[in-house]
Amino acid sequence: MTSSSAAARKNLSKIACNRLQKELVEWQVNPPTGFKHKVTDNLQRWVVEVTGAPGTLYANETYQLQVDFPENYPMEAPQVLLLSLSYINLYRLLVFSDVILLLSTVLQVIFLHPAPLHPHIYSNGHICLDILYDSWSPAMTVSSICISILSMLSSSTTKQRPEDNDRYVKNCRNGRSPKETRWWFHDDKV
Amino acid sequence: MENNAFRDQIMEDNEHEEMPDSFVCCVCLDLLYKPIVLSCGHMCCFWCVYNSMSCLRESQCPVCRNQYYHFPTVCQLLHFLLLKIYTAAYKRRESQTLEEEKKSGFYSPQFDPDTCESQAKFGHSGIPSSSSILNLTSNSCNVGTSECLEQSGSTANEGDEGTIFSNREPDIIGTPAKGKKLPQEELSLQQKLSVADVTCTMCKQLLFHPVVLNCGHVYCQICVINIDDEMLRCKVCQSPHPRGLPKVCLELDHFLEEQFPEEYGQRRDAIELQQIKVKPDTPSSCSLDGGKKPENTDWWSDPDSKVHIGVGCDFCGMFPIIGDRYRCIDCKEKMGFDLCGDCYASRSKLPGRFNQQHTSEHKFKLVQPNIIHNIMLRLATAQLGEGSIDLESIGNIEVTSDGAALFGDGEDNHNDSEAAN
Repeated sequence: MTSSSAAARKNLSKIACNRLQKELVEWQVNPPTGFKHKVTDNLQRWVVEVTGAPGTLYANETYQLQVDFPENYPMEAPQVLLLSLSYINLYRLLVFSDVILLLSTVLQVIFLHPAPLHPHIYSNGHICLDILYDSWSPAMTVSSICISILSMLSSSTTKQRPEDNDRYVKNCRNGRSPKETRWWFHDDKV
Repeated sequence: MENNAFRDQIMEDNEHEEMPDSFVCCVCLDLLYKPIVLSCGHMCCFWCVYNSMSCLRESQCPVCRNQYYHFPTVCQLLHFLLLKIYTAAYKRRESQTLEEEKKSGFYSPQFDPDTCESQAKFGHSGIPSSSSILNLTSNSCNVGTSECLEQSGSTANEGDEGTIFSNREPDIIGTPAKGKKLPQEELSLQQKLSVADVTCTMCKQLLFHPVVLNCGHVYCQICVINIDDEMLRCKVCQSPHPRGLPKVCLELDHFLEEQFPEEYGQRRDAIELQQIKVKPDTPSSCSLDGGKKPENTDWWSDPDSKVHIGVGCDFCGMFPIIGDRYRCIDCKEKMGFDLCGDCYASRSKLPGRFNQQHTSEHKFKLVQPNIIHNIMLRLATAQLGEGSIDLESIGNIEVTSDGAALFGDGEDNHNDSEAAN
């Protein structure tokens, strides 16, 4: 129950399915500019192609975003789950942070290899963007998230990795999900 | 009868159901079901609001992040309005939601005899009939064989016809020609809807700049402003409306303007004549509430505050309960029935928010919060990155963990709560 892979494999709830289908239909009717949804039959994992906006550092470059949806999308972990955490789990949460995933399960958005060079994007594809973690709101959609990411790319003035890239990527080597990270958002300049 | 037959067909056949372009919940992206209007004027379904609330601290509107502490009551005016306009879609939402509710064991409030009927249809015996609590006129409808689509008892409509649609054999369908469907539906919408469906609780006229209080009752903005009480209270149910004046529900306002252009114009003129200043178009509906903050904003940084995590007051909706908490020892529902100290003192008579069968004879006991659990939860979730945490107090704990994205030079890192878009 505490491992990320187990949580990720859980099937979508009916509510999540309904909502994702609605999002997909909306995407097909009105796709966000610069994005292409790669058609699969997997509703729980979307792969989206991003093309850098013209006139920016990433113009004409194409990257792939992978979006994974949790069981209770678009909600965060259900209230009941949090309340049912035992003292032992709470202790582990405090000290090892390995059940943190359960609490901040929203959706997981990462860049597939190769990730763009950007001060907020780690070389393993993890993105430091608060709306993907703490500031998530259930009114956001994949399409609005995509636009935010493109805007983050577009406003960058340098092509470089975050300063702590090596340390972070090393820490994530065992297949950790970015949601298990406690994010400290660098700044809102980029 | 004929009217009803094609209604059923649309209900069975979702493909042909026309998706509304307004009154869509921003969370589930479907038609609002049992709509709740938050004090910022944004609307969501009952369960969408509940599920997106934080059980640890104040919640935020999914759209504008306006903070709120109280789980509002379903707006019955909107509930019956949507049932009238989008009957088919609303019925589909109803059966979908009921299915989910049966799975979870938690139920949303029931308003009309109509829902009793569907409970019978789904063969569910767990929920006792709601008509008894809400005291609606259920005698006019023979449960199980027919249903009342509209009951005016709670919407304060005079002169409502109380139309009864027979629903005995929903599978015998297809009598009317398909081509007739749409015009007939549109026509009936015009006929179905009258000003009486959307009147202010106070002035009994068409709503102008409607605001919805925490109790779910709808007023014109002007009617609420005129009440110069310290704590805004609903004139109908006397429940308090916390945190200042609610903002105009713009979606409903635009709908009214479109649907009743003549009457709406008259209301606007009348109000302008009275020379009372209503802010034009109230764009403030989307802005964050920069006004007064209640004293208990920072309860989670105060270790002495008595917070009952995950428990809400069934009367005023405070969630989580801060202060004294009284739990009903006679309510058997999974959700339980709790009151905060203030509401316990005032002995509210309303049924529970989750359709609990609470009566005034039930006994309460005072429950103490689980302090240790609270502190641990607080520390744990503070790590999830809430803006206003006391960094020093949790700093020691964080050092021991992997510190993946926690940088050594803590000074210039700040937790930015604004989205980077």
